[in-house]
Amino acid sequence: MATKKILLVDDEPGMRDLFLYHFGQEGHEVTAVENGRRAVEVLGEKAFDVVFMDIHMPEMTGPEALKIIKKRKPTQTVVMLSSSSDPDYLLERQSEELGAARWLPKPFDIDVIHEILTGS
Amino acid sequence: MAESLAASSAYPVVIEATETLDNLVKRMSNQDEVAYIAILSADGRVLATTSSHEGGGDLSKEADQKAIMMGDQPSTFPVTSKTGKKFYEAVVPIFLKAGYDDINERIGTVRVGLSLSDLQQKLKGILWIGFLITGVIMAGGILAVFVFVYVVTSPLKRMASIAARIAEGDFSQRIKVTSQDEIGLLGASFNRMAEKIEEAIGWLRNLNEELEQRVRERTAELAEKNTELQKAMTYLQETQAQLLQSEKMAAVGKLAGGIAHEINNPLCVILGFAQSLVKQLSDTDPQALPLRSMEREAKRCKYLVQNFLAFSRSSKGEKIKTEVNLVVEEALELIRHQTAVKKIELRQEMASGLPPILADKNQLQQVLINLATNAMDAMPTGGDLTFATMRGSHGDGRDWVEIQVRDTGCGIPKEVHSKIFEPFWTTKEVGKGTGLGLSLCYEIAQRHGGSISVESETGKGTTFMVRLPAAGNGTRNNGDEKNPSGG
Repeated sequence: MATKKILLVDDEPGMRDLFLYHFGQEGHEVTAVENGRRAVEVLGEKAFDVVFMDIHMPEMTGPEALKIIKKRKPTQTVVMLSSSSDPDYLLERQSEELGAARWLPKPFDIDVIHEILTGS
Repeated sequence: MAESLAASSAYPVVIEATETLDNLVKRMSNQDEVAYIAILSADGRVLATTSSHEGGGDLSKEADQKAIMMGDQPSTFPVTSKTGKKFYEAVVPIFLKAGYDDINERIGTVRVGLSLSDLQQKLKGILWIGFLITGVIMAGGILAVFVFVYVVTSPLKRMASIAARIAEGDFSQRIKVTSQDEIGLLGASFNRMAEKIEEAIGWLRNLNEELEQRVRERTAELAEKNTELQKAMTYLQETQAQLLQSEKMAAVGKLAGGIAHEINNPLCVILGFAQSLVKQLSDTDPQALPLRSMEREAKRCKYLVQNFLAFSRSSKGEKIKTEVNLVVEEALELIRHQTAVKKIELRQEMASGLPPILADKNQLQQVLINLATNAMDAMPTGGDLTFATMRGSHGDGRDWVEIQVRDTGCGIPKEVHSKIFEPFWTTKEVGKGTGLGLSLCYEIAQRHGGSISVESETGKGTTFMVRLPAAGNGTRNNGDEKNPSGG
């Protein structure tokens, strides 16, 4: 697979470590930030193939950041990650409406991420 | 008597016509009670006398003296003769009425002696007759009284006896009215009264019967209502318990939601790293095993969290596209621990390529867990519990998915197959099972447009079959592809 530029937005340090470690190993460029505000900033500076964003975050939730990102970069592929297991959660629903490419519950198989990367 | 003799003998005395006087005397002495008669002159000589009298001579003197003593008035007095006989003498002076002047010269005395004993006898006789008559009258009177009383009382007694019989309960008795008098009237009134009583009793009996009938009906009604009430009560209590449970569950659900949320994050990291490392190692690497274990167990944690969450939340009944096999697998995971403890072997026979169904996952899992629990209860000493999924068709051209829960337990007798899905039907002891489980399963199956049935025989194990329609069968498509199968 070609090298992909991945942006991970998650307040969990473990998640950031995971992405950096694994996808770095696989040869991709991984940037990991801890909240939506930073993500918007970074997106202003660089371009990414896929953005993986956690939904439940302090300061700015995933959907809120999504809104802004979609405004500025309507074509940006954003995959929302959620640690709640309930598909009825409001925020998860919102993400779809706001234009997220996909909604992925945690924990997920790494293979799914690979699939997404391949498709992007 | 003496006076009349005195009057009629007045003239003869004057002239002393003794024969006439004798005749007079004789005539008078013919009367029974006369014992003796003596007509005396003024100087006491006996002018005429009855032939038989006792002690006349003596008498004359006595009498005379007495007469003299008595004066000019007639007098009477008792006399006792020497022989002890008793007489009653009337002494009447004889007066000669001189024609024209008022001078009455006493010219003699008439003495009439009535035999007291005669008299007495006569009196006695009269008395006796009197007594007799009185006696007869009295007797007659008493008899009459008795008769009268009898006449009066016998009908009364009869009435009384009939009344007594009526009082005993025989209301058909009537008095024979034989007269038009007061007794008859009484009898007639009595009869009327008896009639009325009979009527009233009859009426009362009917009323009583009616009332008893009504009471019986009411009692039956009440008994029915009571049973209904009891059932309703039980149902209410169960519902209450369920509601309470639901509330608790809702609270727990919220908590569970928070916890699940918290756990999923670290889980993701663990799983991610385990998988990452596994990818980097070859299968022969000794570290592949431990890492694979970590991967597997992390996944298991994921399922557990999901199921715990699903179970602790109240189900809203919204149906989304669901993969049957996944639901079954998750249910399996939930009971795995229990089956191990109960020495029950857990098997799966899952067909592949099954179409998705539109279902509420929670409710579906409720059904599977319920069936599994029943199966486990049927195998107290261990056995096999199998979950199977397969494609099925009802012959109506539509696609169906069938889930089977099979056990090798004691089985369900054929007679009760139709009853087990009824609410409150249970073979378990009080407190151990509400009997609502299977009826709920039935309802849930219905709600999903499917059905639930059973195949079983006593001693030959049990298979429950849950058939659900495939999602593509013209039902609305929620378009929700985010069923939690990612991962």
